[in-house]
Amino acid sequence: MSAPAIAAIGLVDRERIVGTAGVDKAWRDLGSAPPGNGRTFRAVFGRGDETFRRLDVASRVLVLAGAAAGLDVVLPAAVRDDTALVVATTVGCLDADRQFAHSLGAEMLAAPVFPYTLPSTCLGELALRHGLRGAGVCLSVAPGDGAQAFAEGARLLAAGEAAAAVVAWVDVLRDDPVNCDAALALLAPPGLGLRAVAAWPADPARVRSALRAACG
Amino acid sequence: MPPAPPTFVAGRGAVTAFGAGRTSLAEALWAGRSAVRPRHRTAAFAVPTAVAAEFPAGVLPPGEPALQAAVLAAHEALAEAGEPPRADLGLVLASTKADLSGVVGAGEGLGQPWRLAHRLARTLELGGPLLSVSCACASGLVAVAAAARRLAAGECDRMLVVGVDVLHEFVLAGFGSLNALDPAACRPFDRARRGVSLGEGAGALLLTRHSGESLGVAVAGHGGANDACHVTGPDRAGRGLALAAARALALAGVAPADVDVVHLHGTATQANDATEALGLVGLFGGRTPPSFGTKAQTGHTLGAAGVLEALAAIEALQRGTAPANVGLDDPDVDPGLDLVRAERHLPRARCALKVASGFGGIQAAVVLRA
Repeated sequence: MSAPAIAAIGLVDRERIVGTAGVDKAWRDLGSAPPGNGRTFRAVFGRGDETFRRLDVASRVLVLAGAAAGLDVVLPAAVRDDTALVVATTVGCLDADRQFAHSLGAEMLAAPVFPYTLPSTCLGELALRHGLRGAGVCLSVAPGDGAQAFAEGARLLAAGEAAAAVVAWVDVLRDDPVNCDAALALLAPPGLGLRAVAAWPADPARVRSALRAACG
Repeated sequence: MPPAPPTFVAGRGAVTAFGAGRTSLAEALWAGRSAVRPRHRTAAFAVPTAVAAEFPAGVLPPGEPALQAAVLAAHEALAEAGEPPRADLGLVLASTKADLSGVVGAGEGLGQPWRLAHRLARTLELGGPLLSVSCACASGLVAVAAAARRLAAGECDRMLVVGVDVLHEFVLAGFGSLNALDPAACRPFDRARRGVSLGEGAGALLLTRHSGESLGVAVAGHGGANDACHVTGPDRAGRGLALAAARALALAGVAPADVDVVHLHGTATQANDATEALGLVGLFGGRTPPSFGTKAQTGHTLGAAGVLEALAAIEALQRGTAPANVGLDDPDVDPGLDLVRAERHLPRARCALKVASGFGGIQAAVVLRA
């Protein structure tokens, strides 16, 4: 099978939210720090997301990256039932873990936080927003290995296990300064007919630079 | 979709609350025993249940328990497989939280499974591809799928899949905070079910591309899906679970009528059991094959569950019988789910379906063929 096309890209880091849906917003101009607050989604995309403010930090960043990529526009509805979702993370849910662990000594446990102590929960938040019902894979990867998500997505397509794949890595540390890094891409086999916005990088280590270059 | 090239099971290992070794697990499951007992090691934690399935004292060597349990299970699988060369042996680790000692305490573990995967690979001196999966309670089956995918693509000859999770105050309290724990031993699919009983365990499967190394069982197919409706609650009709199972059957080239036995997810929460039944009954056209679950016996071992329960499904194929669903007195789910009430002979024991669900809406299934 030939290399998949990269049909959409969304990037979120400590400076900006950028995507092939034409989004380019600086956190400085939004008046908030990553990963944003209850007003961020509307400020960037001009529409609301009712539960955004209740999400953990990894989910917020991933949801922003998905919207910046324009998944709702680019991904045909007929394909979503068979679109896989692969997320890689190094830090995982450390922020939620710390919050929940802190509540172990408190009078009231932070029950709403507990589901977010699993890294696969952010994958679910993205899946339900875009109706992605393909296979889900959440990878826990060593620092710098986020491109494993891209490789796993390509494997799923090559094996015929999905019609398309949304692949991403996401990591957020809310230490000061906030360290926030997410890259999301929609991979599609050439036969699906989606327009490529970036070439599949020959060197997986260069995924990040290839995506950034495609977003201008 | 053309059937995937099968990958073969060459080795198995387990450490559970029944003790070390897959034989102790299988004997206990088929004898109808439960390791869900009054909490001992975790007794100091203030959580709303009196019970859990804890490792027996002394079963693990000293050291970080998740690593020690994983090593023990892996060694058993490697031994059964005849100690294959490790220089190119790959590893897929499945765990929800791996080691939390640094999140709640002064340890080094930060709840990141990749760290445990690297330590396990170093300890076992494995030189092949290394992957770590954290897909909540579906982790084990997603890991089996990831390994099978690599083997089918010819990326390597053998992959070791290890699922592991250990009991921790963090996890017990978390399930308790969601009102998801049964105060007593759990009763999957029973009218009186009140939630999960947690357990700890490690399971290992050594998978190979070479049929000559097979124990007589193949991972014939795998499939995944997402409910895409809620991150903690299941689809009310069990559509995601049925979709994952249908995809696994399609990849295996197997029709639903060819499935001889089903190993259920069966957590004993009201919603999970009811929707799992609906999804499977729909998939099988109104009546499932004989179906059993084992969480009332092992406890819910989270990231280890998929691998340990795949071992139970393999055991059912090899014994030609399905064990009883322990704790089931008064079934309260779709009656089309054929819940085994007493050990039952399987007229044909060639194909088993194993399913799992996890937070994040993740659904997974594996088809095993003897």
